[in-house]
Amino acid sequence: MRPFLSALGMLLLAGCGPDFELQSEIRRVRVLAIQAEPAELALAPDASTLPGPVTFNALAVTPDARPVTVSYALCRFTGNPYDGRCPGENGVPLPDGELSLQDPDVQAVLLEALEAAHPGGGALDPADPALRAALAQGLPLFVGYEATDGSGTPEGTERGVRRVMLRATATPNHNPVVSDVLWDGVPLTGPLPVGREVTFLPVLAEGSVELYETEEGPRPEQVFFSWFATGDGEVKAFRSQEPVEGRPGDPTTRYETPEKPQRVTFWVVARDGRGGVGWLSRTVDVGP
Amino acid sequence: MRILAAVLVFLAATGVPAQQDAGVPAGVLTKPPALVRQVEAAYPPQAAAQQLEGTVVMWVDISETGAVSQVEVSRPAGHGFDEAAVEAVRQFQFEPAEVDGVPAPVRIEYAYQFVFRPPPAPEGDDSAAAEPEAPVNFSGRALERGTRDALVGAEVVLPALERSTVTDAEGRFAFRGVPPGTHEVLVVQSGYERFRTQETFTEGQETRATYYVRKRIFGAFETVVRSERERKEVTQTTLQLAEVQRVPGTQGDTLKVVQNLPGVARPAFNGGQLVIRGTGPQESGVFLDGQRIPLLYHFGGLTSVYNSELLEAVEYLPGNFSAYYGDITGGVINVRSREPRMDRVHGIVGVSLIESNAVVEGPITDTLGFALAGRRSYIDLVLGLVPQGDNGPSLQVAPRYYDAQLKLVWKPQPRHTFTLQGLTSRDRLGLVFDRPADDDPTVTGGLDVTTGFNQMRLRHQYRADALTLDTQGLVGNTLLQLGIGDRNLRIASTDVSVRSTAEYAFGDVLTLAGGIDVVSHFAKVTARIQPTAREGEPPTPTVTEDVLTADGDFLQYFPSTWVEARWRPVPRLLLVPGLRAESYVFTDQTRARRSLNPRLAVRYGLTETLTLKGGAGVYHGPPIQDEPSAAFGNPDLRAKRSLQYSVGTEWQVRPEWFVSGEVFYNDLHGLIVRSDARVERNGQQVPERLNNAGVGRIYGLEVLVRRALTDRLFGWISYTLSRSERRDAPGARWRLFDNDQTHVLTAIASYKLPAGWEVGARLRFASGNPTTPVVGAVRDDGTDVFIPLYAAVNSRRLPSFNQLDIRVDKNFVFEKWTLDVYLDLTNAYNNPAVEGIAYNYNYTQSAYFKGLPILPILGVRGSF
Repeated sequence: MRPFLSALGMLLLAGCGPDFELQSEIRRVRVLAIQAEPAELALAPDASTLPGPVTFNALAVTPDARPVTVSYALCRFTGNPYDGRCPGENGVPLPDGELSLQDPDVQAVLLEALEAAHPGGGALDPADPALRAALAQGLPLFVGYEATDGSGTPEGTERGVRRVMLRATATPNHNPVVSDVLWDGVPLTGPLPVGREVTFLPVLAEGSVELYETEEGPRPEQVFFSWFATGDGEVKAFRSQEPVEGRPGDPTTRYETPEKPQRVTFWVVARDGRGGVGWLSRTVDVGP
Repeated sequence: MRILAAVLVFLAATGVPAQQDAGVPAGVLTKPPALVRQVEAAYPPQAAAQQLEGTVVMWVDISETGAVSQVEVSRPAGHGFDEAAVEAVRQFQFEPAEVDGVPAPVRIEYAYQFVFRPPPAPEGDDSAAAEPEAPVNFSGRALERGTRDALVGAEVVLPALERSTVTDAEGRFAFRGVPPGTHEVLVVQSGYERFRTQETFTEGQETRATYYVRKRIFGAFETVVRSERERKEVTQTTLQLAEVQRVPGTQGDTLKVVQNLPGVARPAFNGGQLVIRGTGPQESGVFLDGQRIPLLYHFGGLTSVYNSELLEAVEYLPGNFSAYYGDITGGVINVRSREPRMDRVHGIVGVSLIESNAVVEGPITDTLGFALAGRRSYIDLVLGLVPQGDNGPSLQVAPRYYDAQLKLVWKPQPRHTFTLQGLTSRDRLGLVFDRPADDDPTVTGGLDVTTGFNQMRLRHQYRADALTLDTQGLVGNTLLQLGIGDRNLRIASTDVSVRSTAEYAFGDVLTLAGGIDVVSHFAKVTARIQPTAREGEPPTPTVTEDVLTADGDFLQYFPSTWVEARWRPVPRLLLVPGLRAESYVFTDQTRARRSLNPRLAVRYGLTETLTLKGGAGVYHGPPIQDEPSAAFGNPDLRAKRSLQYSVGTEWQVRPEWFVSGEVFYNDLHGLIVRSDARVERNGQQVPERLNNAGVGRIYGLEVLVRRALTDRLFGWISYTLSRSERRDAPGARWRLFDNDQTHVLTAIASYKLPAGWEVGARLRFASGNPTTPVVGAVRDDGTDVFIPLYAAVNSRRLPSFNQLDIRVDKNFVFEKWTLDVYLDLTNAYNNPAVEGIAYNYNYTQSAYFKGLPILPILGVRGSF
């Protein structure tokens, strides 16, 4: 227990650095989110046919809107997907950002995943109840990405991992949709005043918050948001979340506008905690 | 926010019979010597002729029969007083002092005061003898100022009337037929300042007076005890209560004071971590009177759970300890509680910026005494003053702790003592996050931490000439409860322990000892939590780990038996072979594990003052906490093994000065490390998670120079040079232990100035802790958190540490009570320690994060 609290303490302390670059500031090549369409690989309950391909779409941004290319690879299960070698020697390249289960290399990794979840099973027998149980719970597949602006500098590259679930279900997850951002109750179009703190409220589209089954019964998703902005202002609350029955939450964020007039681009990314992602971007003027 | 986080880092920290002693008092004074027959010195004629007065201060050695074996003048008065005093004191007869209940030789400081009185008038004729006895018209009591202890055998003198009398065992005196008028009254007693006053006597009235006489040197611990009692541990350092309460920078905390002794690493954030000889805090054991305390500190490191007002002494055994202790591969700290004072009811009340505490003790009947102590923190108030960051969580339940202890001691017959002890402790903290933490979006909702324990102990001790028996039973419960958003952990355990020890002395040459030591815990565990980094694993955000669940009962049962012999084949050589058999039983185990632990300690007195010592032994420690559970670990784990060797010398330069040096080597085997393998259990393939493939080695040098507490000064200098390494898998590289500190130097001194002032200082220097450098980061898109990529574990070292702490006390002695006002200034020249490295969200920027700045703690302590 004590190591757990130590990690927690370290996490809380880690953010309090002197003049550190904040996660909400865009100062380099950043991938703010990767949307998978569909949100998860849903196997029909009788697992008779393979699901269709998943396409990845990355929100890759830079402070000056220069172009960024993102490449993807499906990470093998032999190592740790977070060790920085996928894409690379530890990954199967996914051209065009598409994960297709028809690809034999992908199928090989899928077998590794099934083996990891249900070891010692031997041949893949769809009727095997242990296998079906593992699939009902969901099998994570790890897709590594690399976003680069071609410069080769540390600020020009970001690597990461995106988890995609393979699940046997009749009700697959969907991506939430952020339909608007409100400032003082009206849609955010600007112009914003200089040197002031303003509050933004995200608006989710109808149907973004879905019910899902857990051991304790059906539960609604608790969507949480991440806020990003270019320019010299400061996002005061990087994360926010929607409240749901009995669990507190404040979906708003506070933003301190810059002192000098400029054009600022905002992004708000919504995640449903189960792999679903959606976002919205707004570019507004600050000042004069 | 920062302070709050620092508190939460505290939450992370954590998890011997009076014998040989590195330092002075071996054994504890249970009964001071009492003067039975005092011989009046002949007033030196030359001094009498000049009407001179004087005081001779002497060191007097009293044997275990109460006879005076040696007298040495420490502060002469000249004019023939010294020789006369020595001559008289040589003929004194005492009731011998007792150390640990057994008569023992001691040395005391004695001041003989010469008070000049003109010679009595020559005897008159017989008619004077026939005068009827006059009634008592002047009576009273002489008491010690501040403590109100009776002054026994003090002389009360009316110099002008050439009359004197001696106070009785309750300090009472009486005079008959004092003529009316105003007369000077003197009260004289060795060790006390001369008390002078004027009293007026009126015809037909009785004058009653109570005199509060000031002790010469304030402080209840001016007696130096040097005992020839048997010493059997290779290395043991005992700290007395006065030393514990006065070490600067520790606020009188029972356990933190041990961090200043050789072999102990500097703890992070000045917290409670006990890293003894390069082992982790969970591998050492803290005992109260021989049985373990389950949780040592409030909030993992703020203050210890045992009130230092109730302790007799703290014993520290860094390694190579006897077979009496077991299930431990690190070091031992044994806190010995003291008996309640039986002369009358006493009370102590203390208030400081951190906490307030109170103690009440005294006799209930002649044979039954009690002591009751309680303590409550103010940390919630202090945290309330710190401004919270905008993004920080809000306090739902302000952090607070309290603890209480009760002790009842019953001695129905001289050789039997029954003790009932109750302990309780509780910590509580609650926070509400209305937005997820920046670095871990699953940290959201509420954070609630509750920890606590209750214990009831019953003990029976029997002491005869050759046989000693000691049996104690313990029943208690421990609660650890933690909830963060969706994750939670609850461990509620019932603890039952029994320890029984017998010792028999076959003359002077051989003593046999042995006993049983059974510890058991029945826990109900519910958990839904991610496993966290072990020692040697750099911290990683837990977002990528699976959540493990557990819900069930969990048993831990450790029965042990031990035997030991203390054998003196030739004078000055002591051999202590011992053997301890331990068993470890856990729920889910396929079979119980056992270990056999032979141990040997050798002490050889080269000369009266120089001793060579050495020891070798086998020590085992079972898997702890969740390691043997089926849900989180591996129930088939074996115990860790430590082979310990040490060699050293001790030199008692003078009665107050002690120097010791020791070299040690520990060979660790079977350490518990993470495993990726899969094993078969109950016909199923499951992840092994943990196995015993780790090894380690620890070696070093420890030096202690100690000046024992006598009248004014105490202190010590302690230096440790050591290295502690681990290898987590066969073929892996050797890495440093997480808390390896190459050099640790501590110098402490405390001095009593006149007029009740005391000043003390502590200077520390230590190497920085090892740290693992970050070489890159990979982002987890699901949680928007970056996972660091590390270079070789513990391959870099943080900057070294140095700090000065100062403590100043002012003691006020009133008639019926005393007051101590103190200032404990931690980090006097404001050099906060570098405790780690903080990174920004993607590990592209870093900065050292520092510990606490200069921190003054003001407090008062009153006792009556």
